Amino acid sequence: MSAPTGTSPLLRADTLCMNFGGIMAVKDFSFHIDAGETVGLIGPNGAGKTTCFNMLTGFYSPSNGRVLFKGQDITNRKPHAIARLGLVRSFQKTNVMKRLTVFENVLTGHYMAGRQSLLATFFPGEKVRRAEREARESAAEIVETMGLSHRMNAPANLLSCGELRLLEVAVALAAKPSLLMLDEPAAGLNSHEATTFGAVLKTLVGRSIDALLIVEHNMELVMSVSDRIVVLNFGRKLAEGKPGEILENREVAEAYLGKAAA
Amino acid sequence: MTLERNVLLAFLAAAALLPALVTDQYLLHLGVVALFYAILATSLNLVVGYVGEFSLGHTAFLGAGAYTAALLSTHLGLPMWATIPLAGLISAVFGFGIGAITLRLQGPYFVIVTLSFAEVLRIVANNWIAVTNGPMGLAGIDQFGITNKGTFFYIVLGLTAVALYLAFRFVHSNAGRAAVAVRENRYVAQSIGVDPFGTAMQAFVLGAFLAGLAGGFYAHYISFVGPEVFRFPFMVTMIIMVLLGGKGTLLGPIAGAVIVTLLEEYLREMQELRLTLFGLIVMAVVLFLPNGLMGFIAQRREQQGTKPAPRAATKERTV
Repeated sequence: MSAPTGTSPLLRADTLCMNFGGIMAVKDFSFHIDAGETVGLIGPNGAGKTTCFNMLTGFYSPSNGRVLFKGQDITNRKPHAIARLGLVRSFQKTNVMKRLTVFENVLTGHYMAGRQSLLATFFPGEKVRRAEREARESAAEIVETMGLSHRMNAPANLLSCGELRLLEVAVALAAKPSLLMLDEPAAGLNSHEATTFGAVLKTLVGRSIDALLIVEHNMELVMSVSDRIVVLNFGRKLAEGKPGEILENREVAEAYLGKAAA
Repeated sequence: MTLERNVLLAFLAAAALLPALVTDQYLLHLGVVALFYAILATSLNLVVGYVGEFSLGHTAFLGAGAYTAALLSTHLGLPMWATIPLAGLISAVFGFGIGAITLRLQGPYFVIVTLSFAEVLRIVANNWIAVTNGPMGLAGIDQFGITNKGTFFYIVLGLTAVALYLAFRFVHSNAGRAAVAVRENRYVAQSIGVDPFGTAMQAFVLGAFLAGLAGGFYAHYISFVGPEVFRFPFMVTMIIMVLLGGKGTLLGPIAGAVIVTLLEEYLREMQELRLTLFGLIVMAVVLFLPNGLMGFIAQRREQQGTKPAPRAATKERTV
Protein backbone atom coordinates (compact mmCIF):
# COMPACT_ATOMS: atom_id res chain seq x y z
CA MET A 1 0.00 0.00 0.00
CA SER A 2 2.90 2.32 -0.66
CA ALA A 3 2.11 5.64 -2.23
CA PRO A 4 3.46 6.20 -5.73
CA THR A 5 6.75 7.99 -5.92
CA GLY A 6 6.91 11.64 -6.85
CA THR A 7 3.89 13.30 -8.31
CA SER A 8 2.98 10.68 -10.93
CA PRO A 9 -0.60 9.48 -10.53
CA LEU A 10 -1.42 6.10 -9.04
CA LEU A 11 -3.28 5.07 -12.17
CA ARG A 12 -3.16 6.71 -15.55
CA ALA A 13 -5.05 5.72 -18.68
CA ASP A 14 -4.00 7.21 -22.03
CA THR A 15 -6.38 7.33 -25.01
CA LEU A 16 -8.00 3.98 -24.32
CA CYS A 17 -10.15 2.63 -27.15
CA MET A 18 -12.27 -0.48 -27.29
CA ASN A 19 -13.83 -1.83 -30.45
CA PHE A 20 -16.30 -4.67 -30.42
CA GLY A 21 -16.45 -5.72 -34.07
CA GLY A 22 -16.85 -2.20 -35.41
CA ILE A 23 -18.77 -0.82 -32.46
CA MET A 24 -16.68 1.76 -30.68
CA ALA A 25 -17.58 1.11 -27.05
CA VAL A 26 -14.94 3.45 -25.67
CA LYS A 27 -13.05 6.11 -27.65
CA ASP A 28 -9.90 7.98 -26.58
CA PHE A 29 -10.59 7.77 -22.89
CA SER A 30 -7.85 9.35 -20.79
CA PHE A 31 -7.93 9.92 -17.08
CA HIS A 32 -5.94 9.46 -13.89
CA ILE A 33 -6.37 8.79 -10.19
CA ASP A 34 -4.00 10.14 -7.56
CA ALA A 35 -3.30 8.53 -4.23
CA GLY A 36 -5.77 9.73 -1.61
CA GLU A 37 -8.54 10.36 -4.10
CA THR A 38 -11.99 8.92 -4.52
CA VAL A 39 -13.10 9.23 -8.13
CA GLY A 40 -16.62 8.59 -9.35
CA LEU A 41 -17.15 7.36 -12.90
CA ILE A 42 -20.69 8.02 -14.05
CA GLY A 43 -22.67 8.06 -17.25
CA PRO A 44 -25.94 6.79 -18.73
CA ASN A 45 -26.43 3.09 -19.40
CA GLY A 46 -24.21 1.87 -22.19
CA ALA A 47 -21.78 4.77 -21.85
CA GLY A 48 -18.83 2.39 -21.57
CA LYS A 49 -18.14 2.51 -17.84
CA THR A 50 -17.84 -1.23 -17.32
CA THR A 51 -15.82 -1.56 -20.53
CA CYS A 52 -13.37 0.94 -19.04
CA PHE A 53 -13.24 -1.09 -15.85
CA ASN A 54 -12.48 -4.22 -17.81
CA MET A 55 -9.71 -2.54 -19.78
CA LEU A 56 -8.10 -1.08 -16.66
CA THR A 57 -8.10 -4.45 -14.87
CA GLY A 58 -6.96 -6.68 -17.73
CA PHE A 59 -10.26 -8.44 -18.39
CA TYR A 60 -10.32 -6.79 -21.84
CA SER A 61 -7.35 -5.91 -24.00
CA PRO A 62 -7.81 -2.35 -25.22
CA SER A 63 -7.82 -1.89 -29.00
CA ASN A 64 -5.64 1.12 -28.49
CA GLY A 65 -4.10 3.17 -25.69
CA ARG A 66 -2.30 2.15 -22.54
CA VAL A 67 -2.74 1.88 -18.79
CA LEU A 68 -0.07 2.77 -16.26
CA PHE A 69 -0.37 1.66 -12.65
CA LYS A 70 2.26 2.86 -10.17
CA GLY A 71 4.35 3.83 -13.18
CA GLN A 72 4.24 0.35 -14.73
CA ASP A 73 2.63 -0.38 -18.07
CA ILE A 74 -0.10 -2.94 -17.32
CA THR A 75 -1.96 -2.66 -20.61
CA ASN A 76 -2.02 -6.29 -21.73
CA ARG A 77 -1.31 -8.03 -18.46
CA LYS A 78 -3.52 -10.80 -17.15
CA PRO A 79 -6.14 -9.90 -14.53
CA HIS A 80 -4.49 -11.86 -11.73
CA ALA A 81 -1.12 -10.25 -12.47
CA ILE A 82 -2.68 -6.79 -12.27
CA ALA A 83 -4.40 -7.71 -9.00
CA ARG A 84 -1.03 -8.76 -7.60
CA LEU A 85 0.26 -5.22 -8.22
CA GLY A 86 -2.48 -3.88 -5.95
CA LEU A 87 -5.33 -3.03 -8.30
CA VAL A 88 -8.39 -4.95 -7.14
CA ARG A 89 -11.91 -4.64 -8.51
CA SER A 90 -15.42 -5.83 -7.87
CA PHE A 91 -17.98 -6.81 -10.47
CA GLN A 92 -21.30 -5.37 -11.45
CA LYS A 93 -23.46 -8.36 -10.71
CA THR A 94 -23.17 -9.65 -7.21
CA ASN A 95 -19.98 -11.60 -7.22
CA VAL A 96 -18.97 -13.57 -4.21
CA MET A 97 -18.37 -17.26 -3.64
CA LYS A 98 -21.95 -18.13 -2.81
CA ARG A 99 -21.47 -21.53 -1.22
CA LEU A 100 -18.76 -20.32 1.17
CA THR A 101 -19.49 -18.54 4.41
CA VAL A 102 -18.85 -14.83 4.92
CA PHE A 103 -15.68 -15.62 6.85
CA GLU A 104 -14.44 -18.10 4.23
CA ASN A 105 -15.08 -15.58 1.47
CA VAL A 106 -13.00 -12.92 3.17
CA LEU A 107 -10.32 -15.44 4.15
CA THR A 108 -10.05 -16.52 0.51
CA GLY A 109 -9.60 -12.86 -0.38
CA HIS A 110 -6.27 -12.97 1.49
CA TYR A 111 -4.83 -15.25 -1.19
CA MET A 112 -2.05 -12.91 -2.29
CA ALA A 113 -0.66 -12.39 1.22
CA GLY A 114 -0.34 -16.14 1.69
CA ARG A 115 1.04 -17.29 -1.64
CA GLN A 116 3.50 -20.08 -1.09
CA SER A 117 5.36 -22.84 -2.90
CA LEU A 118 3.75 -26.23 -3.36
CA LEU A 119 6.33 -27.68 -0.98
CA ALA A 120 5.30 -25.21 1.73
CA THR A 121 1.68 -26.21 1.15
CA PHE A 122 2.44 -29.82 2.01
CA PHE A 123 4.96 -29.19 4.75
CA PRO A 124 3.98 -25.87 6.28
CA GLY A 125 6.70 -24.33 8.40
CA GLU A 126 6.31 -21.68 11.06
CA LYS A 127 6.23 -18.93 8.42
CA VAL A 128 3.26 -20.45 6.61
CA ARG A 129 1.42 -21.14 9.85
CA ARG A 130 1.92 -17.55 10.96
CA ALA A 131 0.71 -16.22 7.60
CA GLU A 132 -2.37 -18.44 7.96
CA ARG A 133 -3.04 -17.16 11.49
CA GLU A 134 -2.59 -13.57 10.39
CA ALA A 135 -4.93 -14.09 7.44
CA ARG A 136 -7.60 -15.49 9.77
CA GLU A 137 -7.23 -12.60 12.19
CA SER A 138 -7.29 -10.05 9.40
CA ALA A 139 -10.35 -11.72 7.85
CA ALA A 140 -12.26 -11.52 11.13
CA GLU A 141 -11.21 -7.89 11.47
CA ILE A 142 -12.37 -6.96 7.96
CA VAL A 143 -15.70 -8.72 8.47
CA GLU A 144 -16.11 -6.65 11.60
CA THR A 145 -15.15 -3.35 9.93
CA MET A 146 -17.74 -4.00 7.26
CA GLY A 147 -20.32 -4.59 9.96
CA LEU A 148 -20.94 -8.24 9.09
CA SER A 149 -19.71 -9.89 12.29
CA HIS A 150 -23.16 -11.20 13.13
CA ARG A 151 -23.13 -13.04 9.78
CA MET A 152 -19.60 -14.41 10.09
CA ASN A 153 -20.54 -18.07 9.53
CA ALA A 154 -23.57 -17.61 7.31
CA PRO A 155 -23.24 -18.95 3.76
CA ALA A 156 -23.07 -16.05 1.32
CA ASN A 157 -26.20 -17.20 -0.51
CA LEU A 158 -28.28 -16.48 2.60
CA LEU A 159 -27.23 -12.82 2.82
CA SER A 160 -29.49 -9.91 1.98
CA CYS A 161 -28.66 -7.75 -1.01
CA GLY A 162 -27.15 -5.04 1.18
CA GLU A 163 -25.02 -7.54 3.09
CA LEU A 164 -23.79 -9.05 -0.17
CA ARG A 165 -22.59 -5.65 -1.35
CA LEU A 166 -20.66 -5.22 1.88
CA LEU A 167 -19.23 -8.71 1.54
CA GLU A 168 -18.02 -7.94 -1.99
CA VAL A 169 -16.12 -4.95 -0.73
CA ALA A 170 -14.81 -7.02 2.19
CA VAL A 171 -13.42 -9.69 -0.17
CA ALA A 172 -11.74 -7.01 -2.28
CA LEU A 173 -10.30 -5.31 0.82
CA ALA A 174 -8.92 -8.66 1.99
CA ALA A 175 -6.66 -8.58 -1.06
CA LYS A 176 -5.10 -5.43 0.48
CA PRO A 177 -5.39 -3.31 -2.66
CA SER A 178 -3.73 -0.02 -3.25
CA LEU A 179 -6.43 1.05 -5.68
CA LEU A 180 -9.91 -0.40 -5.22
CA MET A 181 -12.37 -0.23 -8.10
CA LEU A 182 -16.04 -0.88 -7.38
CA ASP A 183 -18.51 -1.42 -10.22
CA GLU A 184 -22.00 -0.34 -9.12
CA PRO A 185 -21.51 -1.42 -5.53
CA ALA A 186 -24.81 0.08 -4.36
CA ALA A 187 -27.04 -1.42 -7.07
CA GLY A 188 -30.19 -2.81 -5.51
CA LEU A 189 -29.73 -1.11 -2.16
CA ASN A 190 -32.54 0.93 -0.63
CA SER A 191 -31.78 4.52 0.33
CA HIS A 192 -31.10 3.68 3.95
CA GLU A 193 -28.71 0.87 3.01
CA ALA A 194 -27.03 3.11 0.44
CA THR A 195 -26.39 5.78 3.07
CA THR A 196 -24.82 3.23 5.42
CA PHE A 197 -22.78 1.88 2.54
CA GLY A 198 -21.56 5.36 1.57
CA ALA A 199 -20.47 5.98 5.15
CA VAL A 200 -18.40 2.79 5.06
CA LEU A 201 -16.82 3.73 1.72
CA LYS A 202 -15.78 7.14 3.02
CA THR A 203 -13.71 5.56 5.78
CA LEU A 204 -11.64 3.42 3.41
CA VAL A 205 -9.36 5.81 1.53
CA GLY A 206 -6.24 6.63 3.49
CA ARG A 207 -6.92 3.86 5.98
CA SER A 208 -7.33 0.58 4.10
CA ILE A 209 -6.62 1.70 0.54
CA ASP A 210 -4.77 4.48 -1.27
CA ALA A 211 -7.50 5.40 -3.71
CA LEU A 212 -11.01 4.41 -4.78
CA LEU A 213 -12.65 4.40 -8.19
CA ILE A 214 -16.37 3.87 -8.14
CA VAL A 215 -18.92 3.40 -10.90
CA GLU A 216 -22.36 4.12 -9.55
CA HIS A 217 -25.83 5.11 -10.67
CA ASN A 218 -26.96 6.28 -7.27
CA MET A 219 -26.13 9.98 -7.70
CA GLU A 220 -26.59 10.91 -4.09
CA LEU A 221 -24.08 8.25 -3.05
CA VAL A 222 -21.49 8.89 -5.75
CA MET A 223 -21.63 12.69 -5.27
CA SER A 224 -21.22 12.36 -1.52
CA VAL A 225 -18.22 10.02 -1.56
CA SER A 226 -16.27 11.30 -4.59
CA ASP A 227 -13.64 14.01 -4.65
CA ARG A 228 -13.82 14.15 -8.41
CA ILE A 229 -16.32 12.91 -10.99
CA VAL A 230 -15.64 11.70 -14.53
CA VAL A 231 -18.64 11.54 -16.87
CA LEU A 232 -18.74 9.13 -19.80
CA ASN A 233 -21.27 9.29 -22.61
CA PHE A 234 -21.27 7.20 -25.79
CA GLY A 235 -17.78 5.95 -24.93
CA ARG A 236 -16.23 9.42 -24.67
CA LYS A 237 -15.37 11.56 -21.73
CA LEU A 238 -18.05 14.22 -21.51
CA ALA A 239 -16.98 16.11 -18.43
CA GLU A 240 -14.72 15.97 -15.42
CA GLY A 241 -14.73 17.98 -12.22
CA LYS A 242 -15.79 18.31 -8.62
CA PRO A 243 -19.23 16.90 -7.77
CA GLY A 244 -20.70 20.40 -7.49
CA GLU A 245 -19.42 21.39 -10.94
CA ILE A 246 -20.76 18.23 -12.52
CA LEU A 247 -24.22 18.78 -11.04
CA GLU A 248 -24.24 22.25 -12.65
CA ASN A 249 -22.95 20.98 -15.99
CA ARG A 250 -25.49 21.51 -18.76
CA GLU A 251 -24.09 18.81 -21.08
CA VAL A 252 -24.20 16.21 -18.32
CA ALA A 253 -27.81 17.00 -17.55
CA GLU A 254 -28.62 16.68 -21.27
CA ALA A 255 -26.86 13.31 -21.47
CA TYR A 256 -28.94 11.99 -18.62
CA LEU A 257 -32.26 13.67 -19.21
CA GLY A 258 -32.31 14.68 -22.88
CA LYS A 259 -32.18 18.15 -24.43
CA ALA A 260 -35.70 19.35 -23.76
CA ALA A 261 -35.52 18.75 -20.06
CA ALA A 262 -32.22 20.51 -19.61
CA MET B 1 -11.58 -28.79 9.66
CA THR B 2 -10.60 -30.25 13.03
CA LEU B 3 -13.57 -32.61 12.95
CA GLU B 4 -12.63 -33.65 9.45
CA ARG B 5 -9.04 -34.32 10.48
CA ASN B 6 -10.14 -36.37 13.48
CA VAL B 7 -12.48 -38.49 11.38
CA LEU B 8 -9.70 -39.09 8.85
CA LEU B 9 -7.29 -40.12 11.59
CA ALA B 10 -9.93 -42.35 13.18
CA PHE B 11 -10.51 -43.99 9.82
CA LEU B 12 -6.80 -44.69 9.33
CA ALA B 13 -6.48 -46.01 12.89
CA ALA B 14 -9.49 -48.29 12.50
CA ALA B 15 -8.14 -49.53 9.19
CA ALA B 16 -4.75 -50.24 10.80
CA LEU B 17 -6.46 -52.57 13.27
CA LEU B 18 -8.27 -54.55 10.57
CA PRO B 19 -5.52 -57.10 9.75
CA ALA B 20 -5.16 -57.80 13.47
CA LEU B 21 -8.86 -58.63 13.77
CA VAL B 22 -9.46 -60.27 10.42
CA THR B 23 -7.31 -63.03 9.04
CA ASP B 24 -9.63 -64.05 6.24
CA GLN B 25 -7.65 -63.39 3.04
CA TYR B 26 -10.76 -62.62 1.02
CA LEU B 27 -11.92 -59.90 3.42
CA LEU B 28 -8.42 -58.46 3.52
CA HIS B 29 -8.44 -58.41 -0.26
CA LEU B 30 -11.65 -56.37 -0.15
CA GLY B 31 -9.94 -54.03 2.30
CA VAL B 32 -6.99 -53.61 -0.07
CA VAL B 33 -9.30 -52.87 -2.99
CA ALA B 34 -11.31 -50.37 -0.93
CA LEU B 35 -8.18 -48.46 0.08
CA PHE B 36 -6.80 -48.58 -3.46
CA TYR B 37 -10.03 -46.99 -4.65
CA ALA B 38 -9.97 -44.53 -1.75
CA ILE B 39 -6.66 -43.18 -3.07
CA LEU B 40 -8.02 -42.99 -6.61
CA ALA B 41 -11.26 -41.32 -5.56
CA THR B 42 -9.34 -38.83 -3.39
CA SER B 43 -7.13 -37.95 -6.34
CA LEU B 44 -10.03 -37.59 -8.77
CA ASN B 45 -11.87 -35.48 -6.21
CA LEU B 46 -9.04 -32.92 -6.25
CA VAL B 47 -9.93 -32.23 -9.88
CA VAL B 48 -13.70 -32.74 -9.83
CA GLY B 49 -14.39 -31.37 -6.37
CA TYR B 50 -11.83 -28.61 -5.98
CA VAL B 51 -10.91 -27.41 -9.47
CA GLY B 52 -14.54 -28.02 -10.41
CA GLU B 53 -13.81 -29.52 -13.82
CA PHE B 54 -15.04 -32.98 -14.68
CA SER B 55 -12.16 -35.18 -15.80
CA LEU B 56 -13.02 -38.39 -17.61
CA GLY B 57 -9.37 -39.13 -18.25
CA HIS B 58 -8.16 -39.90 -14.79
CA THR B 59 -7.34 -43.47 -15.81
CA ALA B 60 -4.47 -41.97 -17.83
CA PHE B 61 -2.65 -41.38 -14.54
CA LEU B 62 -3.64 -44.70 -13.00
CA GLY B 63 -2.34 -46.45 -16.11
CA ALA B 64 0.82 -44.35 -16.39
CA GLY B 65 1.64 -45.22 -12.80
CA ALA B 66 0.87 -48.91 -13.23
CA TYR B 67 2.98 -49.23 -16.38
CA THR B 68 5.84 -47.25 -14.83
CA ALA B 69 5.98 -49.55 -11.81
CA ALA B 70 5.63 -52.64 -14.00
CA LEU B 71 8.42 -51.61 -16.37
CA LEU B 72 10.79 -50.45 -13.63
CA SER B 73 10.24 -53.67 -11.76
CA THR B 74 10.51 -56.13 -14.64
CA HIS B 75 13.35 -54.42 -16.54
CA LEU B 76 15.43 -52.80 -13.82
CA GLY B 77 14.42 -55.02 -10.94
CA LEU B 78 13.75 -52.04 -8.69
CA PRO B 79 12.11 -52.77 -5.32
CA MET B 80 8.57 -51.71 -4.49
CA TRP B 81 9.58 -48.80 -2.26
CA ALA B 82 11.25 -47.26 -5.31
CA THR B 83 8.81 -48.21 -8.06
CA ILE B 84 5.66 -46.87 -6.37
CA PRO B 85 6.99 -43.34 -5.65
CA LEU B 86 8.53 -43.23 -9.14
CA ALA B 87 5.16 -44.29 -10.56
CA GLY B 88 3.66 -41.30 -8.79
CA LEU B 89 6.32 -38.95 -10.12
CA ILE B 90 6.09 -40.13 -13.74
CA SER B 91 2.34 -39.88 -13.50
CA ALA B 92 2.69 -36.32 -12.17
CA VAL B 93 4.79 -35.52 -15.25
CA PHE B 94 1.98 -36.88 -17.40
CA GLY B 95 -0.41 -34.76 -15.35
CA PHE B 96 1.66 -31.67 -16.07
CA GLY B 97 1.72 -32.37 -19.81
CA ILE B 98 -1.96 -33.25 -20.11
CA GLY B 99 -2.97 -30.45 -17.76
CA ALA B 100 -0.99 -27.88 -19.76
CA ILE B 101 -3.32 -28.63 -22.67
CA THR B 102 -6.64 -29.55 -21.08
CA LEU B 103 -6.77 -26.99 -18.27
CA ARG B 104 -7.08 -24.23 -20.86
CA LEU B 105 -10.49 -25.69 -21.60
CA GLN B 106 -13.60 -25.65 -19.47
CA GLY B 107 -16.86 -27.54 -19.17
CA PRO B 108 -17.67 -30.11 -21.84
CA TYR B 109 -14.48 -29.37 -23.79
CA PHE B 110 -12.38 -30.33 -20.81
CA VAL B 111 -14.41 -33.53 -20.34
CA ILE B 112 -13.97 -34.65 -23.94
CA VAL B 113 -10.28 -33.84 -24.25
CA THR B 114 -9.32 -35.53 -20.97
CA LEU B 115 -11.27 -38.60 -22.08
CA SER B 116 -9.41 -38.70 -25.37
CA PHE B 117 -6.03 -38.52 -23.64
CA ALA B 118 -6.84 -41.65 -21.65
CA GLU B 119 -8.02 -43.33 -24.83
CA VAL B 120 -4.84 -42.34 -26.71
CA LEU B 121 -2.72 -43.83 -23.93
CA ARG B 122 -4.77 -47.02 -24.06
CA ILE B 123 -4.16 -47.31 -27.79
CA VAL B 124 -0.45 -46.68 -27.32
CA ALA B 125 -0.31 -49.35 -24.60
CA ASN B 126 -2.14 -51.71 -26.93
CA ASN B 127 0.17 -51.17 -29.90
CA TRP B 128 3.62 -50.34 -28.60
CA ILE B 129 4.35 -54.02 -28.23
CA ALA B 130 8.13 -53.62 -27.79
CA VAL B 131 7.62 -51.80 -24.51
CA THR B 132 4.17 -52.67 -23.20
CA ASN B 133 3.84 -56.15 -24.67
CA GLY B 134 0.60 -54.97 -26.26
CA PRO B 135 -2.72 -56.56 -25.34
CA MET B 136 -0.87 -59.38 -23.58
CA GLY B 137 0.25 -56.90 -20.97
CA LEU B 138 3.13 -57.17 -18.54
CA ALA B 139 2.77 -60.22 -16.35
CA GLY B 140 4.73 -61.61 -13.46
CA ILE B 141 5.51 -58.30 -11.77
CA ASP B 142 7.60 -58.97 -8.71
CA GLN B 143 5.66 -59.27 -5.46
CA PHE B 144 8.81 -59.82 -3.40
CA GLY B 145 7.46 -63.01 -1.95
CA ILE B 146 4.59 -61.29 -0.16
CA THR B 147 1.80 -63.82 0.08
CA ASN B 148 -0.15 -62.47 3.01
CA LYS B 149 -2.81 -59.93 2.00
CA GLY B 150 -2.29 -58.29 5.38
CA THR B 151 1.14 -57.04 4.26
CA PHE B 152 -0.33 -55.58 1.08
CA PHE B 153 -3.04 -54.06 3.21
CA TYR B 154 -0.47 -52.18 5.29
CA ILE B 155 1.35 -51.00 2.16
CA VAL B 156 -1.81 -49.60 0.62
CA LEU B 157 -2.83 -48.15 3.99
CA GLY B 158 0.49 -46.30 4.11
CA LEU B 159 -0.15 -44.94 0.63
CA THR B 160 -3.67 -43.93 1.65
CA ALA B 161 -2.24 -42.06 4.63
CA VAL B 162 0.18 -40.22 2.32
CA ALA B 163 -2.64 -39.41 -0.11
CA LEU B 164 -4.93 -38.12 2.62
CA TYR B 165 -2.16 -36.10 4.23
CA LEU B 166 -1.25 -34.38 0.95
CA ALA B 167 -4.89 -33.82 0.00
CA PHE B 168 -5.72 -32.47 3.46
CA ARG B 169 -2.79 -30.08 3.40
CA PHE B 170 -3.64 -28.89 -0.07
CA VAL B 171 -7.34 -28.40 0.53
CA HIS B 172 -6.83 -26.46 3.74
CA SER B 173 -4.04 -24.28 2.39
CA ASN B 174 -4.05 -20.95 0.67
CA ALA B 175 -3.66 -22.79 -2.64
CA GLY B 176 -6.66 -25.00 -1.90
CA ARG B 177 -8.80 -21.97 -1.12
CA ALA B 178 -7.65 -20.43 -4.39
CA ALA B 179 -8.80 -23.57 -6.23
CA VAL B 180 -12.21 -23.33 -4.56
CA ALA B 181 -12.36 -19.64 -5.50
CA VAL B 182 -11.77 -20.55 -9.16
CA ARG B 183 -14.44 -23.25 -8.94
CA GLU B 184 -16.97 -20.93 -7.33
CA ASN B 185 -16.29 -17.79 -9.30
CA ARG B 186 -13.53 -17.51 -11.84
CA TYR B 187 -13.75 -13.73 -12.11
CA VAL B 188 -13.63 -13.01 -8.41
CA ALA B 189 -10.70 -15.42 -8.16
CA GLN B 190 -8.76 -13.44 -10.75
CA SER B 191 -9.62 -10.13 -9.12
CA ILE B 192 -8.04 -11.27 -5.86
CA GLY B 193 -4.87 -12.32 -7.68
CA VAL B 194 -5.51 -16.02 -8.28
CA ASP B 195 -4.12 -17.41 -11.52
CA PRO B 196 -6.87 -19.88 -12.51
CA PHE B 197 -4.63 -21.93 -14.76
CA GLY B 198 -1.72 -22.21 -12.33
CA THR B 199 -3.99 -23.08 -9.42
CA ALA B 200 -5.88 -25.72 -11.37
CA MET B 201 -2.54 -27.14 -12.50
CA GLN B 202 -1.38 -27.66 -8.91
CA ALA B 203 -4.50 -29.64 -8.05
CA PHE B 204 -4.35 -31.55 -11.33
CA VAL B 205 -0.69 -32.57 -10.90
CA LEU B 206 -1.29 -33.57 -7.28
CA GLY B 207 -4.25 -35.67 -8.43
CA ALA B 208 -2.10 -37.29 -11.11
CA PHE B 209 0.65 -38.03 -8.58
CA LEU B 210 -1.76 -39.76 -6.19
CA ALA B 211 -3.40 -41.73 -8.98
CA GLY B 212 0.09 -42.78 -10.10
CA LEU B 213 0.89 -44.07 -6.60
CA ALA B 214 -2.31 -46.10 -6.67
CA GLY B 215 -1.37 -47.40 -10.12
CA GLY B 216 2.08 -48.41 -8.94
CA PHE B 217 0.59 -50.35 -6.06
CA TYR B 218 -1.93 -51.97 -8.39
CA ALA B 219 0.86 -53.28 -10.63
CA HIS B 220 2.56 -55.09 -7.76
CA TYR B 221 -0.61 -56.27 -6.08
CA ILE B 222 -2.22 -57.79 -9.16
CA SER B 223 1.19 -58.67 -10.58
CA PHE B 224 -0.15 -57.86 -14.04
CA VAL B 225 -0.72 -54.66 -16.03
CA GLY B 226 -2.53 -54.56 -19.35
CA PRO B 227 -4.14 -51.83 -21.46
CA GLU B 228 -7.37 -52.35 -19.47
CA VAL B 229 -6.10 -49.99 -16.79
CA PHE B 230 -6.88 -47.13 -19.19
CA ARG B 231 -10.39 -48.39 -19.86
CA PHE B 232 -13.54 -46.58 -19.03
CA PRO B 233 -14.96 -48.93 -16.33
CA PHE B 234 -12.23 -47.82 -13.90
CA MET B 235 -13.23 -44.25 -14.61
CA VAL B 236 -16.91 -44.99 -14.01
CA THR B 237 -16.15 -46.61 -10.68
CA MET B 238 -14.08 -43.62 -9.56
CA ILE B 239 -16.78 -41.17 -10.60
CA ILE B 240 -19.50 -43.07 -8.76
CA MET B 241 -17.36 -43.10 -5.62
CA VAL B 242 -16.70 -39.37 -5.74
CA LEU B 243 -20.30 -38.44 -6.55
CA LEU B 244 -21.87 -40.83 -4.07
CA GLY B 245 -19.53 -39.84 -1.24
CA GLY B 246 -19.67 -36.14 -1.97
CA LYS B 247 -17.34 -34.18 -4.20
CA GLY B 248 -15.45 -31.29 -2.69
CA THR B 249 -15.10 -33.04 0.68
CA LEU B 250 -12.22 -35.20 1.86
CA LEU B 251 -14.34 -37.77 3.68
CA GLY B 252 -16.79 -38.26 0.84
CA PRO B 253 -14.55 -40.08 -1.64
CA ILE B 254 -13.37 -42.46 1.10
CA ALA B 255 -16.91 -43.29 2.15
CA GLY B 256 -17.77 -43.67 -1.53
CA ALA B 257 -14.80 -45.98 -2.13
CA VAL B 258 -15.70 -48.28 0.75
CA ILE B 259 -19.41 -48.42 -0.12
CA VAL B 260 -18.94 -48.97 -3.84
CA THR B 261 -16.22 -51.60 -3.33
CA LEU B 262 -18.52 -53.60 -1.08
CA LEU B 263 -21.49 -53.10 -3.39
CA GLU B 264 -19.47 -54.21 -6.40
CA GLU B 265 -18.40 -57.32 -4.56
CA TYR B 266 -21.78 -58.32 -3.18
CA LEU B 267 -23.62 -57.54 -6.38
CA ARG B 268 -21.22 -59.70 -8.32
CA GLU B 269 -23.84 -62.46 -8.59
CA MET B 270 -26.01 -60.14 -10.63
CA GLN B 271 -23.29 -59.87 -13.27
CA GLU B 272 -24.30 -57.55 -16.10
CA LEU B 273 -27.24 -56.23 -14.12
CA ARG B 274 -24.67 -54.78 -11.75
CA LEU B 275 -23.76 -52.01 -14.19
CA THR B 276 -27.43 -51.16 -14.65
CA LEU B 277 -27.74 -50.87 -10.90
CA PHE B 278 -24.75 -48.55 -10.80
CA GLY B 279 -26.37 -46.42 -13.46
CA LEU B 280 -29.47 -46.17 -11.32
CA ILE B 281 -27.38 -45.29 -8.28
CA VAL B 282 -25.71 -42.44 -10.16
CA MET B 283 -29.08 -41.11 -11.29
CA ALA B 284 -30.48 -41.35 -7.78
CA VAL B 285 -27.45 -39.57 -6.34
CA VAL B 286 -27.63 -36.76 -8.87
CA LEU B 287 -31.36 -36.32 -8.25
CA PHE B 288 -31.62 -36.77 -4.50
CA LEU B 289 -28.12 -36.20 -3.11
CA PRO B 290 -26.52 -33.70 -5.45
CA ASN B 291 -23.77 -33.10 -2.92
CA GLY B 292 -23.31 -36.76 -2.06
CA LEU B 293 -23.50 -38.42 1.33
CA MET B 294 -21.23 -35.87 2.97
CA GLY B 295 -23.26 -33.00 1.57
CA PHE B 296 -26.37 -34.66 2.95
CA ILE B 297 -24.84 -35.12 6.38
CA ALA B 298 -23.56 -31.54 6.46
CA GLN B 299 -27.02 -30.32 5.54
CA ARG B 300 -28.64 -32.38 8.28
CA ARG B 301 -26.18 -31.07 10.85
CA GLU B 302 -26.83 -27.54 9.74
CA GLN B 303 -30.57 -27.99 10.04
CA GLN B 304 -30.12 -29.24 13.57
CA GLY B 305 -27.90 -26.28 14.26
CA THR B 306 -25.05 -28.43 15.47
CA LYS B 307 -22.63 -27.61 12.71
CA PRO B 308 -19.33 -26.87 14.44
CA ALA B 309 -18.56 -23.21 13.93
CA PRO B 310 -14.96 -22.41 13.08
CA ARG B 311 -15.28 -19.34 15.23
CA ALA B 312 -17.63 -18.33 17.98
CA ALA B 313 -20.36 -16.52 16.10
CA THR B 314 -24.08 -16.56 16.02
CA LYS B 315 -25.78 -18.93 13.67
CA GLU B 316 -28.62 -17.55 11.65
CA ARG B 317 -30.80 -19.12 9.09
CA THR B 318 -33.04 -16.25 8.19
CA VAL B 319 -33.15 -15.48 4.52
